[in-house]
Amino acid sequence: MGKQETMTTTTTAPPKLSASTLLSDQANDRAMQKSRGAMQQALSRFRRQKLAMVGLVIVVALMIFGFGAPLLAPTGYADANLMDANQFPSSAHWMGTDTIGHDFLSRIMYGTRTSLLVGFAAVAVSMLVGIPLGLLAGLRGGATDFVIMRIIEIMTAFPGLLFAIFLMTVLGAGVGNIIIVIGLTSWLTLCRLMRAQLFSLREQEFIIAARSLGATETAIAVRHLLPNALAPIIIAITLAIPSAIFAEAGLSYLGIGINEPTPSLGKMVADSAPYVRVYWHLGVFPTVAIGLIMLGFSFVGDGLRDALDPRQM
Amino acid sequence: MNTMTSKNKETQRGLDKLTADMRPQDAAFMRRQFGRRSFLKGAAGAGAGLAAAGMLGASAFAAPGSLINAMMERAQTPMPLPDGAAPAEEQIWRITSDPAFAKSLDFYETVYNRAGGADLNSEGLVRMNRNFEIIPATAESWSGSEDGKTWTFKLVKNLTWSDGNPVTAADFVKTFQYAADPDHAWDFAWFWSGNIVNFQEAFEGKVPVEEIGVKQGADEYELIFTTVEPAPYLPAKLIYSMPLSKAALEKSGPFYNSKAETAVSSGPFILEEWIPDQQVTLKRNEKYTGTMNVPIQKVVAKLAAASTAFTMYEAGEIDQMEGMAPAELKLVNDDPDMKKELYQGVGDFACYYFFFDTTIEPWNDIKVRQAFSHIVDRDAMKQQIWDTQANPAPSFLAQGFPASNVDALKDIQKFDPDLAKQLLEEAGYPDGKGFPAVTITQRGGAAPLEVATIQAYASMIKQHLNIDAEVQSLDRQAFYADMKKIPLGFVSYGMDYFDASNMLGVWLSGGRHAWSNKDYDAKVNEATTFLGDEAERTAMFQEAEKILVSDVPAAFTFFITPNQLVKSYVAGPALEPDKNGIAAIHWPGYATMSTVPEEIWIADSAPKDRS
Repeated sequence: MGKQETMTTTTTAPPKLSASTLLSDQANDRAMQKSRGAMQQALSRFRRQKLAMVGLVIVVALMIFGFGAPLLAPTGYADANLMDANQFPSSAHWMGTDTIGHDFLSRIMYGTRTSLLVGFAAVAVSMLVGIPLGLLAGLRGGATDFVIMRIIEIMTAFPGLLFAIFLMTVLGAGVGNIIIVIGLTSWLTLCRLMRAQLFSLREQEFIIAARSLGATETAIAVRHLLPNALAPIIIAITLAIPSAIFAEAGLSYLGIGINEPTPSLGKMVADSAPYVRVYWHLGVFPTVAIGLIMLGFSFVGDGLRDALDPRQM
Repeated sequence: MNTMTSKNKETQRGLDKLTADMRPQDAAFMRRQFGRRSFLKGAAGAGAGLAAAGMLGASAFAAPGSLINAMMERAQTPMPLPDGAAPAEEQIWRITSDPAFAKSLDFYETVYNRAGGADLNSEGLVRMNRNFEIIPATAESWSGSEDGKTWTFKLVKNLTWSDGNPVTAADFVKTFQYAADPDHAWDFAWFWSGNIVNFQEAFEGKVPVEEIGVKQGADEYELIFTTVEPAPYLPAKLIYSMPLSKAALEKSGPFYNSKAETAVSSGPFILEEWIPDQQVTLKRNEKYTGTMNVPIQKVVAKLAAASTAFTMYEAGEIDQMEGMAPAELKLVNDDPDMKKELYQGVGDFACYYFFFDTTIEPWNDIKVRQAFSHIVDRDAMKQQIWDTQANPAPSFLAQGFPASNVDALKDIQKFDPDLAKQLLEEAGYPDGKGFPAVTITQRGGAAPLEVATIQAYASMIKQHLNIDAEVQSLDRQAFYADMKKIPLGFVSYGMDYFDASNMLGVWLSGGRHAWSNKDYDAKVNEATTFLGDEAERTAMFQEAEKILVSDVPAAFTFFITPNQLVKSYVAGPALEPDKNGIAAIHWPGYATMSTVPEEIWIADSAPKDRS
């Protein structure tokens, strides 16, 4: 649905853009202004969406909550006093304490930081792998495309979780490794999306025009194809972040993610299982934190999609 | 075997070669085993009395023919159920079993991958009663040679397998040969290696399995073991001797007891149905000719992860469980009805400890090890984590185990963070500065109690020594295979037989851990083979344990006192106090190596149609 729409619009705006870039700097500036106008329109559309703004507020708040942990958290994540263990939320410990005597609020804050870090970094890794491969497949086509698509098919056929477990077992636990593993198992969507975009753009008139004016393939790729393919990629990235966070939670839940005492929300949920019937706070807070992260990014992602959706232009 | 046994034993032993030649030989074991402990004070039970007579006399043991006959008669006529017991069709014993380890029902097939309900398909030469005394099972009498290296067991005649074949020495010979067969690669071979003549050599493929020191004697009801060193403890060690059927093994091959069509049993039960990942059902072996009167008619092992056991117990799906999470225990204690169903046992006297690879930096410095032992706040752990599920272990031998000396040793590794800081500074790491990052390795599938203890220790390292400590989990098999190479890990060891030489043997040089101490080796070996005064021998073991605790190859942490939940409608002597006043289903649990199967039944207060 959205993809088809995207293609039609990209045809309307860019031909002017491509022509103007080849004409003069002045024209180029004008085109930039135009595209800035489009961007501003998108932004204002984004701002008009209540859910998206709520999502944005949640995401920003969680980022402050998580990345601000070293400054804001009451204690370090490894600090514990066993004699304070198993306390319910109180004025001294807003979220209570866990079975070892960690201040649970601090654990949740650092856990959120871990989750966000994994989310951003893993998506960065999957971008680094997926986008160049997608560009390569989409631009070169032919044998290159064939090989890349077969790799993607093989990886799709192989359950992602199983592959992640395998990689984690080989690499060992740790934040760095989990980022690599999630990145390496989640680049497929980005790669396929990139390739599909290029395939549809490649045959557009403005590309043919650029080519007939003597632009090199690289110039075409960088100046014309990439900017036009960007909108769906941005949306995909936004939505990939919560998936990556959830993947980390899943792997940590299985006990092959991140080592104690580094907190991870998924692991906190897993660890709470035998305790939650008595110490409800051990299960509720990390679950709510994961839920909020997912919700925030999903709202922002949906908002971005609607904002960048050409039907609204 | 029920969950209790398989779980405990599984967790307590390494796959590493803890060979028996490292295990000290105990020339005086038999004579002392029961005299040393206070168990026999007032011992009146026939089994105990008999065992004692055998132990205290020369190294020979015989149950009077009259008793054997009485036992046989009892077994061969259908036993009326005890008073107040539910009718036969309600006599179902339901437990859980971890599907990850459910591969076989036979000890000599695999020890680490037995399903619930294992070890009920045949009976070993001896078994252990509630007071940790050895009593006859398939063997009616035994005797040792002068030099303690040749052991002759007389088997009870007229015992048969369910396929009609008699139980003879040939079954035991075949079973031990199968255990030593390198192609079988039995996961418990270390138990007999270096102990039974040629066992290790056969296992390494150097001699044919026919040459191991387990042979038929004068007739098919006489079985002879020959050992490398004098081994008076051999009868006790033979609680692990449940044979496979020679005929079935030859006819249907290994794992014949994993399929109902090929199952053959000489024990009280036989496989009825095995639904993979769901349930193992054993029905009564109608052709059972053994000496136990077993009231239970059916054993059902539900294959479910251990973490779900508590929920299943609450829902009434199982009759017994062990290994609650700390919060689950709290739920039990808060519920007056459930609290009545709680039993605290001693399990297999297992000690749980943090061990160091003393051959590498920085653990080769005793001051570092001492520092790391003085930060274990066992009292806080007891209060906040273990509750009734464990006791502080400042030393290795648990209370109630031979030569245990907890009180005298308790200050050596006592909780003293100031002393720990000072020792760390003396070792060259003031306030933890310059100390390499610490990783504590735990075995995969560790119970909640273990996990919480390990995490608490990690936080104590940070709190008291200002050193960052990380916890990593290692797959069980890899953990045991690499145990000597783990710089700092957490593991446990529980007894295989009731003598200090068994537990202390674990720490002998070249054994389970990298630590090596000549004085310790000498003391343990001397005590093990010591023939003189009982108290003197105990003192020797205690001296050895003192060396062990003082040299800190490990920070000893807790003795497990497994808490069990047993439904109120389960009845029988197994739940009454033993001579030490401990009431709980004793290790090794519902299996023929124990007397538990004849000491437990379902009372008529049980809900109908349990399944």
